[in-house]
Amino acid sequence: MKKVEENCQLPWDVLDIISKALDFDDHFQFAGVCKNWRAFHENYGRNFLASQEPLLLQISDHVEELYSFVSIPDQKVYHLEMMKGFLCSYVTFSSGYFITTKCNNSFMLINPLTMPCLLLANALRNLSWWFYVNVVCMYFNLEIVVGLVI
Amino acid sequence: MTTGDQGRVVDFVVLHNRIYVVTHKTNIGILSLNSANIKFLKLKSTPNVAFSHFRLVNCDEQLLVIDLMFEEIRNVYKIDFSTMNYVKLNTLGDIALFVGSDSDRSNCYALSNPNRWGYERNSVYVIDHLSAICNVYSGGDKKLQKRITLQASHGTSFLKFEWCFRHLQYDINYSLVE
Repeated sequence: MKKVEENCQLPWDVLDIISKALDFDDHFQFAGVCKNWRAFHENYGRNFLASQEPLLLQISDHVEELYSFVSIPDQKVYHLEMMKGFLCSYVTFSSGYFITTKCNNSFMLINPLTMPCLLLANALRNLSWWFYVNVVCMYFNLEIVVGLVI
Repeated sequence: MTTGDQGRVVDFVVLHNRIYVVTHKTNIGILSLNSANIKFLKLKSTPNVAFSHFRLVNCDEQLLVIDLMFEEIRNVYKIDFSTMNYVKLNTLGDIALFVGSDSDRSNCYALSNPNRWGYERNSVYVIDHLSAICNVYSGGDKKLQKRITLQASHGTSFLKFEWCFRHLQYDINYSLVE
């Protein structure tokens, strides 16, 4: 027991039970506890993005856009409060990223699991480009898009 | 890019590393990004329908065409590449379809063996964002089976819903289309 306390080496099945009781945003604090919990969180993130379970993304336009994932069979809502500060408008979710636009003719790719965002400034120059962005972001490998634009 | 008299492109999906498009006249083509051209399939027949929205869905590498009317499913077709025909599906079998709240813009998705995630097979899940309800239709007779009220997490402000299939990631092979 002493070793567990010192190294924070809780078994991952125990961490799994803990993580299921958490809201989506709580995982950021969860990952900051120690290396073991961070490793679990990274694995959780990979599994989350690989899951075939359909989720519903709910966007509430209340002063600013608020995001949550909804699991219909479980009747569970996962809040994404961390998305609040980005002040952006949702376009789509693709390849593990939220693709959003900002009012200054730019758009952002936001990873909900790590939250660092990639800002593509002045990318939306005109309508045809906007169409292009929609097409590309929805269906193509985002790494290619990011590589092209940067 | 011109489509001639084939109609206006209304949706597209990635299938077999190619981009398939559908026009409002239900013609199906393959988009080439290299030449900005669409090579249309020589289908023996196309459904004669009007005033519908058509969505393309990749279902386990099969191409489905969804005929939507005011967020209700009218018909589901499979493109049979061996006979180059539209085949009307009288049942969805072991798959479920998921339709977004905006039939002009939202994507459609298909999921096989949906029971493993708590969804019904041979069903169509359509979001009605105005009333925050998920309507579930039978994939056979298209009749409404049940209505699921969605939880509002942020009060009563305007809500928008989008289906989120996290694992989807498409790759395009440019060399496949000339």
